[in-house]
Amino acid sequence: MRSLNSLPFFAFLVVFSLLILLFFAYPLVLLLVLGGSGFVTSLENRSFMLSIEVTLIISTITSVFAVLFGVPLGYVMARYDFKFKSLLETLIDIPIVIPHIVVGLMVLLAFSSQYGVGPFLHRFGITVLDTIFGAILAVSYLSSTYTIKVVESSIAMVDPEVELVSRSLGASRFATFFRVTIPSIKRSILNGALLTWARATSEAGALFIIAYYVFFYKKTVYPSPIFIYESYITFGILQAVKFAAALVIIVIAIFILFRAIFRVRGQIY
Amino acid sequence: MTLLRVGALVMKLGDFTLGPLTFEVEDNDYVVLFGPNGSGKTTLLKTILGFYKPVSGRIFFKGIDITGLPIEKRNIGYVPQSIVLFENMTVRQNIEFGLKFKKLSKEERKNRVERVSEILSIGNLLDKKPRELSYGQKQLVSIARAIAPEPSLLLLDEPLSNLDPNARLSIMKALRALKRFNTSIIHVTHIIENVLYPDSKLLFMYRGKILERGKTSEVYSNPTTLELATYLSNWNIYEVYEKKGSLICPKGRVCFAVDREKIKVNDKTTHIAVKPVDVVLDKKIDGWSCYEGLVEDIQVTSYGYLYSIRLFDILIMAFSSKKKGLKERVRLCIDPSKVVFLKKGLSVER
Repeated sequence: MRSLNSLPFFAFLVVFSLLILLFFAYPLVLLLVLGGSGFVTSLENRSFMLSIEVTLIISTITSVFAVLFGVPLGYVMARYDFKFKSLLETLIDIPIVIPHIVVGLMVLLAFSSQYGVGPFLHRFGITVLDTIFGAILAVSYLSSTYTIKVVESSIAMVDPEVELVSRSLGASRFATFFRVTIPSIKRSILNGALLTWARATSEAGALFIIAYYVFFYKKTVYPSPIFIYESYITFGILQAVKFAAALVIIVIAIFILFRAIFRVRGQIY
Repeated sequence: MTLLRVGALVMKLGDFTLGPLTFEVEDNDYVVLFGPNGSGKTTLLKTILGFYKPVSGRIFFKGIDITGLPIEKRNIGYVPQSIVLFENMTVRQNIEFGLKFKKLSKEERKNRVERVSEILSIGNLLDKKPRELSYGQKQLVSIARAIAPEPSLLLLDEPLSNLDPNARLSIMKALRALKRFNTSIIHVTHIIENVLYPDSKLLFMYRGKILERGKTSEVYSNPTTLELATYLSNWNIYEVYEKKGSLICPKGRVCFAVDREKIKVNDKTTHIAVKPVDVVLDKKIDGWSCYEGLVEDIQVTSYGYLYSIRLFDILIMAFSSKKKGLKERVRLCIDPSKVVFLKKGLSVER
């Protein structure tokens, strides 16, 4: 039984928690109330739907990229101790710290036709400015950290003995990694990928620099956050809010659907 | 035939040094690695398994030098101290896991899983997920998984720890059933009661060294090192202060009669020890060391009472089924042949 003496403490917890939750919910509810009525008309807007398509392509490829490279890195960070490990940890955290506009500039600089590996890539026709490839690079730089961090912490929670047992049973390091370690953190990998996907979907700052619009099916298409910004400065807030609400509904629906599918199929246990 | 030969093995782990260790395990042997926590038992086990690379020395398995061989190529079974089942697999898949790396047909794998689960009495668990099992059942599955590929050597790291009494009995029964697999076993334990067979080989480890070795029942009854006698709790251990003919005297006004021949043989003796069960109460026997003392403390055990009795400047522990009271005067006698001679194990390299 909680004693009455704890009451002021619980009141403190409840009041402060409610205030922050209200702060999160209030603008979202208002956006959905004001913009929700324009949901259907937004879906009928061809340019908006193309921008959603481009954004989903960018964020989905970014998630795949984050899992592909982030899982091995997360494993290294969780399982091994080595010199300069803290330096690597800082490097992994840096994308969260740097302003997104700056990341856009960095990626543009790193892969432009004049510096670094840019001239080499240009020889093969690979460019980053106003391309989906450039947008993926910038967004990956900013959002892969989420997958790496989630994977790292979940691998750290897997008893290393499980891998030792697997190897004693004849499984090689590779077999152990793919048949024992990865399946045991499947849920975290999916969650990490989902976080990266959500983060990538909402990215605007870096895209202002590197992919304000992209060429998609011989058309110029704005990634959806920039599409909403364009609507705002061209048509005003009420028009932008309709597209914004539609984007939020679509993203949340995909997010919920993804989680539901993988829970039903027993992928998340 | 010799199955495993560990020769002058040295392993360093931070400040801890294991070895140099030399010992052999024969076919169908059951070897107990016994010692306190931190003595290097698990480190030795993991070095044999291939997880740790020795600094020097060699490990031969079936006559082949496996010192540099990867874990997965050694074919040595391993049951770790912490129960780690593959949580995403059923019990059947857990047991079958190691068989997939052998060249066995699906039918052979199925038969093997069924045979192992029948011997260990876990046939009813095969379709369950690990999270549905009790701790004891998980341990049985862990053992089944390790034995299914029929390794010639099985390493068991404290398989009986953290179990309730019933689960412990069922695991002990399962471990005894492993004899049917013709597998040699190295069993790590820090509790002597967990040894399955009194005639098994025992290696007593202390601070990275093997201080005593021999048949479990003999090593247990007649420790020769101070470290082992101290670790086998409740022994009466006294530092030798003076030797007078066939008397050995610790500090204080008490002397114990011992066999004169034993004194000659054990000239490096630093301590003597007597088991509490060898201290006889309420009898006067000629030729034995007999004293009167005062009961200072009483511990109730499952089989009787453990008394702390004050004899002048020393305390002596005596075990008896007879009930005595606190501050009661009692007569106690010790058979000279039951006095054990000890030397410091770490000063004597083996």
